[in-house]
Amino acid sequence: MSDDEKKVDLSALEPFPEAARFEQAVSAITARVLEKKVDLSALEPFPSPARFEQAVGAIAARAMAARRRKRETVSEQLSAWARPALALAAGVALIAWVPSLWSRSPSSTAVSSSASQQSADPAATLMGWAAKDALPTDTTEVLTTLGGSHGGTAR
Amino acid sequence: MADSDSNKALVARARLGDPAALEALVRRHLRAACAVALAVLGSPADAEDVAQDSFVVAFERLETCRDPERFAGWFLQIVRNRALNAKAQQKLRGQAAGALAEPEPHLDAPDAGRAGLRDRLLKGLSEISATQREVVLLHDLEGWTHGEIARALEISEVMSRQHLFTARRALRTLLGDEAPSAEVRHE
Repeated sequence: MSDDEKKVDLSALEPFPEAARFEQAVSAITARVLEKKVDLSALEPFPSPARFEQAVGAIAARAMAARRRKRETVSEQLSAWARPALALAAGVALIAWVPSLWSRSPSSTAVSSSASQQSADPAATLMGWAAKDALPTDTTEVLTTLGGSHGGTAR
Repeated sequence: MADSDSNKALVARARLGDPAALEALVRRHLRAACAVALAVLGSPADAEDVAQDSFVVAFERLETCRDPERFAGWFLQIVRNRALNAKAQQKLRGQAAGALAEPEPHLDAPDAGRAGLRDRLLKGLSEISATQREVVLLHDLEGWTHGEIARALEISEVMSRQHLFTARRALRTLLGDEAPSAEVRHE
């Protein structure tokens, strides 16, 4: 073999003297490749600005209408509840009012007013009886005139 | 994601019935909603339907958004739930079989080559987890940062990076030389 045919020893120029260094370089290159974005523009949902604007307008209109509809629904619900609530309140007021009407019936009012007058002025009552020469109808009336609360002890 | 008004201000105005605020919220979150729905459903057309319905539902329930500053996370959870419901309904109807494997034709696809690429991407996406799909779609399609993704998906930024790394590696492995690359984005 001539000198020309012999390999020149270039091992001193070996870029990766160790296997680990080689693997490290491969990893670094791989990482750099992976740093590159994958071009996904083929998946672009709105290829033209006009198409995007059209979609934005349509969605905004739909969303606005839905929000308005919901607000109307809430006010409708409130007004729907207002009527039965008012009816219930009126019923309760009526129920509370009727017994008070009974307790304020004309006969009882008259009795209570005459009784109160008598109890207020027993002398005038007695004078009235004397002037008219009338007699008390029963003992109770006398006791009431003279102070009903003592009727029990007077007896 | 970087409009002048904060989510909090827009939500407050939308609650008062301001149509401009409502439209601004739609404009800001529509693409992300489509991405999240696509991650679950694997069908662009179904994803758009779910995204639209999710906005209507979200605006009906706007008062229940307890932290308007984190509207994106709250809203994307609605999108995810509705997409999962839609998927379950599809399964019940027996229509879910191969939704990812056999995507429906996209009306806006400009040419057959692009449509073919889209189908291959969808097929590749179907092979990775739902969270990885969401992360890679939000990052590589919508241009979200890891911080934004972490807040919206309620994961850490480290996990977001990890999901993205895994998703990209899987997509490149699955798609081989077909996997298209875009410019490196430095954050």
